[in-house]
Amino acid sequence: MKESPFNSNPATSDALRRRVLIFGICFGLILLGLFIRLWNLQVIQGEKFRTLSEDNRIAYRLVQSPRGMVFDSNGELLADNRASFNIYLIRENVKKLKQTIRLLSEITEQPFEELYKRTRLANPFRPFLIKADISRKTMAFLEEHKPEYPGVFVQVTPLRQYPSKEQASHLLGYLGEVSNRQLQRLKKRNYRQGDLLGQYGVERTQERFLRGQSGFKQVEVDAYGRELRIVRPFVEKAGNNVYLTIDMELQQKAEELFEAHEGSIVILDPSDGAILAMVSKPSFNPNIFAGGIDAKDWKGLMKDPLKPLENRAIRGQYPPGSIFKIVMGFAILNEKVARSNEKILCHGSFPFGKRTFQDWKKGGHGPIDFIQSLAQSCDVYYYTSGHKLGIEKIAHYARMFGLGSPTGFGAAEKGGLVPSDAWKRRRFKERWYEGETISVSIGQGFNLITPMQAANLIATVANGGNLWKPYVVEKVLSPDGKPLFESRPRLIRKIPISQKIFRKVREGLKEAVHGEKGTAKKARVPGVSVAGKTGTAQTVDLKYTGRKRKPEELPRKFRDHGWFVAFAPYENPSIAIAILGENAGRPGSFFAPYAKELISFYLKKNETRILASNDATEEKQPAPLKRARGERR
Amino acid sequence: MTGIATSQSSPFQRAVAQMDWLLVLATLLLSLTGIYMIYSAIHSNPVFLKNSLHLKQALWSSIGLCVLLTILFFDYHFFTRWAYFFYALVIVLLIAVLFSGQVVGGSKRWLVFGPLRLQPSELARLAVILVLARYFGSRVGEEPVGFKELIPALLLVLAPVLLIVRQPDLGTGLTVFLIAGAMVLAVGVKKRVLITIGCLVVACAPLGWFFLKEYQRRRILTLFNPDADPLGAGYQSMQSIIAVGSGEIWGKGLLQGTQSRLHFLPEKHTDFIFSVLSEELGFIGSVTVLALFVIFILRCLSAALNAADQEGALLAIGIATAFFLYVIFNIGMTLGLMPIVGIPLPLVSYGGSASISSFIAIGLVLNVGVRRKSLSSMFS
Repeated sequence: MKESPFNSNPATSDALRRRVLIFGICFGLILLGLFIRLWNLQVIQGEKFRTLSEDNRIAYRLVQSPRGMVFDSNGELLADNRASFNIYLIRENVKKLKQTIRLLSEITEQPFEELYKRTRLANPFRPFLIKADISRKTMAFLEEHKPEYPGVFVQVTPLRQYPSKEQASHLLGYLGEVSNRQLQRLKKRNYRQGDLLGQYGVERTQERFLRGQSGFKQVEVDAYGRELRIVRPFVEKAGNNVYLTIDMELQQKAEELFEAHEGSIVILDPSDGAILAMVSKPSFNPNIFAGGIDAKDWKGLMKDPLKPLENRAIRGQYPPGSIFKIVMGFAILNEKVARSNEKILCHGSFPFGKRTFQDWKKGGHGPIDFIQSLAQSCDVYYYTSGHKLGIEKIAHYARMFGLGSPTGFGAAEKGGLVPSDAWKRRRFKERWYEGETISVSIGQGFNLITPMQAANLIATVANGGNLWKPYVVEKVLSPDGKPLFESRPRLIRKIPISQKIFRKVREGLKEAVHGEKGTAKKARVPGVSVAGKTGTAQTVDLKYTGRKRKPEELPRKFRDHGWFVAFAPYENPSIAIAILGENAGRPGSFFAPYAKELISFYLKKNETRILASNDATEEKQPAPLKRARGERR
Repeated sequence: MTGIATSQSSPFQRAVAQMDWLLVLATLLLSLTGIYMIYSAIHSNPVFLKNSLHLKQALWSSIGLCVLLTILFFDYHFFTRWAYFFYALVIVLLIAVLFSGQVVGGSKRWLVFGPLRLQPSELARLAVILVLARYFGSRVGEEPVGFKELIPALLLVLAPVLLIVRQPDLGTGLTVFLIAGAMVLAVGVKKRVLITIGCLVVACAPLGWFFLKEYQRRRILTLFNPDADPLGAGYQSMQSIIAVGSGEIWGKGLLQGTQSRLHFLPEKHTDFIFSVLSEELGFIGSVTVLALFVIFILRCLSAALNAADQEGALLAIGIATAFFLYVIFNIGMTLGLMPIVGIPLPLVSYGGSASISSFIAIGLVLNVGVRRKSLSSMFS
């Protein structure tokens, strides 16, 4: 054997060897202990533990904390939650899957094939939602037959509800199951397959505030899926509460007025762009979305030719008709095309090239100045001035007042259209014709605006040139009342036009309501000065219709749109309204009484409130219970 | 014993002849069991499955085997000669882990080098065994160890132990300390010293209680009464016992364990791998694995018994004790006999550092066995 260089080390002593043997015996005995324990657990008590492992399983149950509530500016509830009974299934615990699914498809009225496929795709260990918000009868049936269908259980979860049903539905929006695409994006934020999230309106834009935390609690369950006890609880954390600028009473009033029409009403606070009401008709009932919408209901909504899901206030684009004359008025005075007291003779028509552009009034208005041109909505006045201004100037002023681009309210808002030479070359590969400028001057032709833009336009006129960004979320409070978000009005721009010109335009709009020959006399409110402008937008060029026909004779899509915009009180505006009757076949003046109703309702309401709070001041400091929008700033 | 080596045979032939093939067989069987059980433990977890932890473990075991073979080419004295150097390196790593270690489950145990993660506490165990074998291996005479000799050894042991406890990894710290204790006992200690230390331990035990963290105390308390806190600390213990017990004699079958599939066994591919094994393979399976460990540990002790010198014997004793303690702590924990401490089951649990350090240890034991004293010298 080769000598090891370490042979100097002492050899193992007998004492050491003896101790190694003792170690061996000790180790062996202790390991024998493990053997005995295994024997005890697996052989002697094995059956007991086998039953325990089969019956006393731990299950994960999804806990959904309630979503935050939505209130209007007066604290009226617009969206909250109620208890709903949902059926869940854990595939792993189901004995006869096909038979169970067949029963469930019957009692929940869902097609068997589809439900079966969906169930097969779900995680077998996690509860899978079969149907939300089942009836008490269905629940009673399931409870009774529970032992026959292991793996199926009923759980209470909060379900969204909107007490005002169809009202303000476009504003509030609805919930929908998270789509696969959204899930990719939201996985990090703890969203799971089957979660509901805001898909529309405030529910969507305020999702991050409104969402209640969801998570799993671990429960011990028996073989029937009954909860025996909670192993690890999940602490609920409710969503935050969103307060809107909406005045629900005003909104309701507007909804009722427009019940029989299609179209939109937008009401703004001209002092800061807060939305007081926003109606889009026809509307839908967001409650049907709350527990996951029926395929049938969804198809019905999607196939409806009137498109009830479309929010016309921000996505409906219509020719502005004569309300465009407001923009024209600013352009005319600011560009000094005409002085305000200068009169233009109106014969009732404006010949241009081979065409003759007609005034709405046969025989014309005679000599007419700026104020009266707005009050009487003289077309010839604007044909003449528009021709002098040219399309580029007109487009410049239209854009100045926020037309042609979204107001910034958000939510897939459309921008309307401000036509120009460049636009036409891009769109039609064709130059701009001057004749088209004439049509644009009275808001016909390619011009398109949304009701929201119309409302913002009139609000800007009312407040003397502050183009605000319309907003609807006033503040967000945590469940314990801590402010998380408070809105700050955002000025898009200050219109660079003198107050003198603003006063002239406002005077013209007041004259339209209060003047002898005004087109909007039906908007008069006793004791209040109102300023307004009618607009009637033709959907087809007059030359195609030839003679004037009754609206009933025309197919719906060829009937005129009726516009009315107004603000009040004239001296100190606190409300700005835009009303659009889509294909109403009615002139704008038809909607003037609606504005009157809304203005008088709103002003009266705030007046009494201001009086009430003044009374309170005499005794003690008024409780800031309700914020009267009229007295802001 | 197999054939007797003659002076004519080559070192390779001698190695093959003297190799403890039973120990090698036990090692291989345990590793294979581990790889399969890891697969079973993770097969319902898509994330782990995607990372194919079982294949990674196979890779670690293969690397471990290569390391083991390499170690056999050197005389074990080569390793003891470098013991202090290795020891110093491990201390540096342990200090580094305190400063820049990766935090996993609330404690810093890992050093990250690019794609590799190293758990220095696994190496510390080897370092302490090597350094103590060197320290006590060269002493002459059968005089029992006194205080004078013991204090430097105690310092050598306490340095890494305290660093490990700081991570905090109380379980590993304690095992390293116990391994050292066993080695010292094997060398022999003066009765006076033994009694003094015994008294000190008894006196300090209540004091140590206050140094424990809240969760550590709860784990120890639930050991005596698992039902007292079934929702918290006792929960894992109860679930593990149910898993083991429900395996009965024959087990639920491979991949059929419900306890682990329902995800209420924590760390089931590492610390609770034995629960998965017991549930799926039953009493037969768990006793087989236990028997493999018994053979394994006894073969290590046998290597100590026949070692050429005191150094080799101490090396083998240290390693045998290490494996013994890990098995006792881990299986004891899954059977509800020990508090829940993060101690893996050697060779079977998932873990790169632990696996490779185990293979190194086995390599050293085989090394001692191969270079044992010849039978002739035993009778001289």
